[in-house]
Amino acid sequence: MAYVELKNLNKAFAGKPAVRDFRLSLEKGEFVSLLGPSGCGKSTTLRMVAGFEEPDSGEVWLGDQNVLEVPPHRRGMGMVFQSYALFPHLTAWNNVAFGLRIAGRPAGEIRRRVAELLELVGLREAAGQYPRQLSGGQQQRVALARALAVEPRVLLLDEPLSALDAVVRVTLREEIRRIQSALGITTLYVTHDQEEALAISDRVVVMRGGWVEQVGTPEAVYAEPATQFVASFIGKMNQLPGVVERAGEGWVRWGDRRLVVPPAATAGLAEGRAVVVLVRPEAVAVAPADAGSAVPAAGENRVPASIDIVTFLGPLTRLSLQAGGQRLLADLTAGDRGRLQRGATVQLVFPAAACRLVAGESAGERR
Amino acid sequence: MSLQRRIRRSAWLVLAPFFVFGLAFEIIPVLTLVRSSFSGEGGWTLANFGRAFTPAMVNSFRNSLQLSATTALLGVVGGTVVGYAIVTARSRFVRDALTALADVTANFGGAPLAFAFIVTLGSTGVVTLLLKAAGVSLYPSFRIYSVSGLTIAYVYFQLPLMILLIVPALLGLRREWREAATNLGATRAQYWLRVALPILAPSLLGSFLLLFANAFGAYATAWTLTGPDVNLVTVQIAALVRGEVQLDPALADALALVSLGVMAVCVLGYRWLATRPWRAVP
Repeated sequence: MAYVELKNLNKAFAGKPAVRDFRLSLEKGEFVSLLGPSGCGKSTTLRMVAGFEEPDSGEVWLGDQNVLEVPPHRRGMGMVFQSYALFPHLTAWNNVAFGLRIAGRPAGEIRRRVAELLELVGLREAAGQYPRQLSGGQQQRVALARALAVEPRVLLLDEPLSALDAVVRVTLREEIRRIQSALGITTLYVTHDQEEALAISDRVVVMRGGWVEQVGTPEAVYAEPATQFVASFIGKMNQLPGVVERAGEGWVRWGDRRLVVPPAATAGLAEGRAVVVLVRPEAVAVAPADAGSAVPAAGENRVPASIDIVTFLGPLTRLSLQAGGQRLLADLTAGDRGRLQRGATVQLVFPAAACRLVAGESAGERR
Repeated sequence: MSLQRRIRRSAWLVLAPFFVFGLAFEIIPVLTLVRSSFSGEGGWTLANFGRAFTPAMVNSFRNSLQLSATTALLGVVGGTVVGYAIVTARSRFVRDALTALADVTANFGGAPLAFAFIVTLGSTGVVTLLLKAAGVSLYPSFRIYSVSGLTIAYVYFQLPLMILLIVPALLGLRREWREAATNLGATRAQYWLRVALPILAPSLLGSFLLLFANAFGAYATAWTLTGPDVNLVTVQIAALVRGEVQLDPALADALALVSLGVMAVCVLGYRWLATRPWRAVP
């Protein structure tokens, strides 16, 4: 039995669906992120789990109990808010102690537990300070300690890092993961930052328009996006729209060129079916325009292109190119950069094995 | 002359009318008050203050303090409850209409207010007569021309003033605080007792002090409604200045200076509360 199970959750606001048929199981100790753009329903889902929103239909199971009828203050969920939501009239110490006092724990236990948690989040020294005397990062650490103090069964984090600057965000997300791993607490994390989700999650749930687009490990979601949306939302992706030319051979017609993809990807698809070939920029190599034979090697794609922009990104150089009437990206490591310059004509080379195929999705089309 | 210096000079010039106004109607009157209250026939003296603490005068201070504290307390409690009802009202029209009403009534005081109460709750007032027709006789157990009548009249402007003061503070109570408290196991009552009210405390106390000062300095309503029947500091000061019983401007100035001290304590208390590190809402 799953530790947490969300069954067919639906929620609409003023008739407009916010979450649609949401299903998810979490194992004990798992760290799952809900990832998607603003308005995709991820925070609403989290709030339904916390009990702050009542679903129109569906169930929230915690172990063998459906907690929908349990009031929020008895659900045993610890929540960390985007705006920290620290009580401004209480010091960091008293904020962390709040839930323990409400629970009527003995004073000695409260002292020990609060000290332990402030130590865990590295804020022992700031115990006597009020929220407005703490930085954003410190406030979020206190909020995390406060949520953990009551030993919740599930930790819910609603975009906890989005109000922080980039450097603090990276540090704190690692802290959150370290603490979560150390305590082994089941965690549901909401973010719109795909890098954040990939970096700290055991599994990622990609959402869009209230629907779940894909659930998988960060590696799977990155390497094998299930839909065109996931492909475009997670990292950079070249998207080449075309039609199946010969399913058994793995051929796809892209404009006036033929692309080769793994035959397994086209198996069962009717010829003429609209598809999108996906290739990560790091899988694309750049060769001189006159290099190689005119006929591509088996299982290899060669596309003539001209370089538009060369961007230095530290460990790699990103080329933005024009090919077949659309913009493509190629990420090269420093050693591969050579003498590539704006305006140069080159060949983009990428193996069939690096290509992934998803169904074509017209504008506005969804299920 | 550099451009920056010229801008600075013109900024001072723009502020000049304010300084002239402040000097003419604040600084000079206060300095005159101080000088006059410490002056006697033989020069500087504390005798005026000695006379300011005779039993009758002490009684006027006691009445003023009691009336101010009572109406401020009623205003704070009633205004907070009504203010909360306003900020949680679903209808924007209701919210705006009630706030506008509070704005108007908070500024409706003095003789017109007293007259309004006389024609409604006076011995031959409309409400009094209607109640009498319904079998409820307000008089003689209640009189609008008494301290209790004055209390009702003061609450009429204290309550809406409190609404105007507390609504921004109530709007500053963030939903996340309630949700965080709930998430940590707090019931609705625990949230109010341990989170909302402590957060609002500086605003409530500060508003109490402002309402207290507002009532302490009120004169026209009290004089029009009760005349000399209710012994208040402001009524005493007016009587001494007008010379109805005895003309004694120096004693009036001493009383005014003590009143000024009471007001200053209120304002300083309000300012102190406004700068607390845990103060989160306006």
